[in-house]
Amino acid sequence: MFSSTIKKWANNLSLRHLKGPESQPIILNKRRIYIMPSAFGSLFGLVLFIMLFGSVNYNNNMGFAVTFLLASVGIISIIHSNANLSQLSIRATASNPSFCGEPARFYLHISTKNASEKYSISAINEFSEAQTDVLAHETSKITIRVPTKIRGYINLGKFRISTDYPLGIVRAWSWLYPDAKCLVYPAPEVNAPAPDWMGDSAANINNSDAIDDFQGFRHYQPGDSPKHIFWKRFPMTDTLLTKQFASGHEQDRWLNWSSVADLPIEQAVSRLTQWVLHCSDSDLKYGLILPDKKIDFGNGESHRHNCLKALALYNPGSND
Amino acid sequence: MSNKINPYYINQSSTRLLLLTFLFSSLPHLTRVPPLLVALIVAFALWRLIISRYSLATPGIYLRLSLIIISVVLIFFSHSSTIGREAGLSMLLIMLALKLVEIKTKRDTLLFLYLNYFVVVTNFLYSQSILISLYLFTVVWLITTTIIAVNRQGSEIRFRAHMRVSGLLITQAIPLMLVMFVLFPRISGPLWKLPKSESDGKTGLSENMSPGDISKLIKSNKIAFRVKFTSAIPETKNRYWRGPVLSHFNGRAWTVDRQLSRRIMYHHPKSTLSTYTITLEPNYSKLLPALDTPVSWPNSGFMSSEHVIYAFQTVNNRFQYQLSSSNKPISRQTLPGKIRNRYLQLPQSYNPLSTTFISNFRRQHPNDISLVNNLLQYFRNNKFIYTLQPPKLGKHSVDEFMFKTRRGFCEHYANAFVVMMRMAKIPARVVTGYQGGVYNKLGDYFIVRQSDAHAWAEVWIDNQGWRRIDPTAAVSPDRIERGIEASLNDDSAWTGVLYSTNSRFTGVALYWDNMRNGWNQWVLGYGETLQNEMLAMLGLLSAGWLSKTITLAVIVGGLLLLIALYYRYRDSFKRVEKSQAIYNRFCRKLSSADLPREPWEGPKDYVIRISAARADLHTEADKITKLYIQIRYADQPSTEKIKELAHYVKYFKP
Repeated sequence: MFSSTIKKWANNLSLRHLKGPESQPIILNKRRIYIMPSAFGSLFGLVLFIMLFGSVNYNNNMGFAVTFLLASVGIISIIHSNANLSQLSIRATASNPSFCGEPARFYLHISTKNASEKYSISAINEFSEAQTDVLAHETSKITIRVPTKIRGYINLGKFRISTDYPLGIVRAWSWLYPDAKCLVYPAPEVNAPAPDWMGDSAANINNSDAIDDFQGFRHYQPGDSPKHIFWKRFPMTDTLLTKQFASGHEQDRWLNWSSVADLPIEQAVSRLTQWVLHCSDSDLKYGLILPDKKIDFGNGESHRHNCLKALALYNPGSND
Repeated sequence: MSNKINPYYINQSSTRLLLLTFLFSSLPHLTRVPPLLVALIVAFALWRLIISRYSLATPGIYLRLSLIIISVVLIFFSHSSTIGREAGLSMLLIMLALKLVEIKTKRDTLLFLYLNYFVVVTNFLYSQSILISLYLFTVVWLITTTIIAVNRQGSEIRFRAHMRVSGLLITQAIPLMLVMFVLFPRISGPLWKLPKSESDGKTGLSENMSPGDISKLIKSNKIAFRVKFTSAIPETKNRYWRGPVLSHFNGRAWTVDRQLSRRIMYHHPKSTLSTYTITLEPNYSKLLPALDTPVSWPNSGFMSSEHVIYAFQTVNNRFQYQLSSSNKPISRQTLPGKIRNRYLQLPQSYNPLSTTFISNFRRQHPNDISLVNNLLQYFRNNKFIYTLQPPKLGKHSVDEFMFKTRRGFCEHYANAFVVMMRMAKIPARVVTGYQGGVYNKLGDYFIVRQSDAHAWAEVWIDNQGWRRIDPTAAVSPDRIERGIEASLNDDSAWTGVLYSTNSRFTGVALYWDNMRNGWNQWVLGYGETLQNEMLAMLGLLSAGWLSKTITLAVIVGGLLLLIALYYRYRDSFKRVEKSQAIYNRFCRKLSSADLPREPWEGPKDYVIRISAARADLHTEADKITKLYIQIRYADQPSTEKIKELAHYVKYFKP
């Protein structure tokens, strides 16, 4: 159809300036803002045309006046739409890493370089759409999502900042390609078998709820999980004690690549990911051994992140 | 794949806003739509309110279809038609109300609002008066505000803020609108034939005169036309505005005799002239009233052989035309026998008393002129009364009027007089038209209303031609000298509705009418003719639609560019202005230290002079001046620099 051809043409034109990822923040200016009538604009135009036809036919001057006023309002709204995008400053940052298969989330921090407020600013990519107003001297944060298919770093890619403020009859937009990437952890394997050191009894760690034996107390050391602190004693003694559990032998809690090496690489990575999550959920101390990397025993959020990151970025090709 | 975050819905407050908008845009129409259909519209609106209040489902397709069918049937029964202007209007409003009920998406809402603009325009088909126009433009503002509110879906409605934005949009659009209004190529005449309207209450002179026709007109306060003289203004008693000439009598009604009222195309020899412009209110006929006796007329019309000006096309819109008239009757030597006979036509066996009376009268006055004068004398001497509420007359209307009731107004006198002239074998005819008019000092023009409608007689005098005889003047000279109101002293029943010439509101009323006249003439009357005149003044002689369109495009483009440039440099302008203000503060401080800046002095020269006079100020003044120059001539002056400048000036103590 004619209109879709025009739409495509305008879209290609507006994409032209995007040669590669742009440094942040990106400031919108007249060179990169494009404006076209929207679908509602065509409807508006149709109604105006009928009004014009009626005014000509009945030679009705006030009819002419209203028709011309609305046509002028439509034209003026182009300028307002443009001004509503102009001087917007946009910075994209990655949110927490997501697991492969879940959408990766990016935050867009939008503020204005001039003192005017901006309304109904939408960020749209192929997969998501979010809208916000931007007040003067304030930064608005909206989330935009990108689906993930492989582990590793994912780029935010191209997306549009667009607005149809004030009347909805024209849409102003600008394509952005900020240099922003988000880490994607490997997807944990579903129904993964338990690691060797868990013994044969726990055949499947996904439904293992084995309770470890309580061994005694020791003095709190930084890095101990808050779950294991003996809080009841704290008000009486003013010393923190940590509960000790026995759960196999520490030297066995290596999550070792060698134990999954015979699997296809992606499945192996997924299984290790599942094991990392399991250990982290059960508050065990664990270490990770990859062919090119070794992460020592540890516990807690940052340890978990380090392990998952290593798995996400593991590339056996680079080892050879 | 797309994942919309704000699914559209219309909540209660936006429903109320939509209803309010619809109410205001259709308000003037509610009197034009039959009450049954108004009730239907109100029912639909209430239904919508309930749907929003209790979050009910909007009606499905079958229910909607059946509602449409029911509505169309109701429209058909209320209007006994589904075509025509009134039925179309009812259809539009009901379908909009129905649309309101089923609104679900943003698209529905916006379409509904765009159609509200259309409703506004349909209002103008009924009235384009100043007040209605003001009202409807306010409604346009309201609709635009609602569109902004709807378009800002998801966020709360901040009505005042939206109102300000739409007000700004409209204000900025006005210059563009004016350019388009003035330059958009106008054509005269409709693109397709106007459908006949059911309710066009035609008031005005018609091609026949039955008893009571004129008295009905006299009760109407409507304006017939306005006249502006470019020559000397004729006296009241000579201001006879000529309308249809009626030459055929059937015993009861007078009608135009088509045989006698042929078109003639030649101009008469000119004698003393009045030249004037008439702005005619639409009379839905072809008649163009003219001062008796017209000698030149507009090209869009012609003059009949009975000296009546007709337009080639029906006057459906306000129409302006220029004329000139002679105050002397047009002389003609002979009246061919055939034509003479048609002017002597009378139905058989009517008014026997008058026939006898006139044959006696004729014997006493064999001379035509003396017969006419004596008959007028007879009216004067026999206590005839001028009244708008005459007794009803039977079959022999002239007999009863002459010898029984003797009460009547212009149409009775003209009727009786012409019938008796014809009985006396003097060719005669009834002329209908208007007499007098009220002068508006402010605008220097006359207002002639339907209440000035009048009927008089013309008689043929051999070797002289047609002579105007006004028998009413013989009975009630005041009617002719001072207007209709002054002449009605026996019963003032109608004076209330008549346009009062001596009320204390006259001044205000005349002022208001002057404004309306200007509106009619320059705004509503702006069309092909005025446009061409104006373009000729601008040097675009005989501009065709192409050059009009090009001019339009150029000017619109230029205006847009200006507005866009303003937005582009708005911030810079503001900063430059601000820095200027700060620098002026600096100069004022110095001037109170007896070091005023001379008008011709540039900032650089000034600072040199300051340093020479007060070495202690050198460092500070130099810093301020440099900063100021930097801001003034930088491409994108920054806010920080201005703050810095303001800070220095604030602590600058000479």
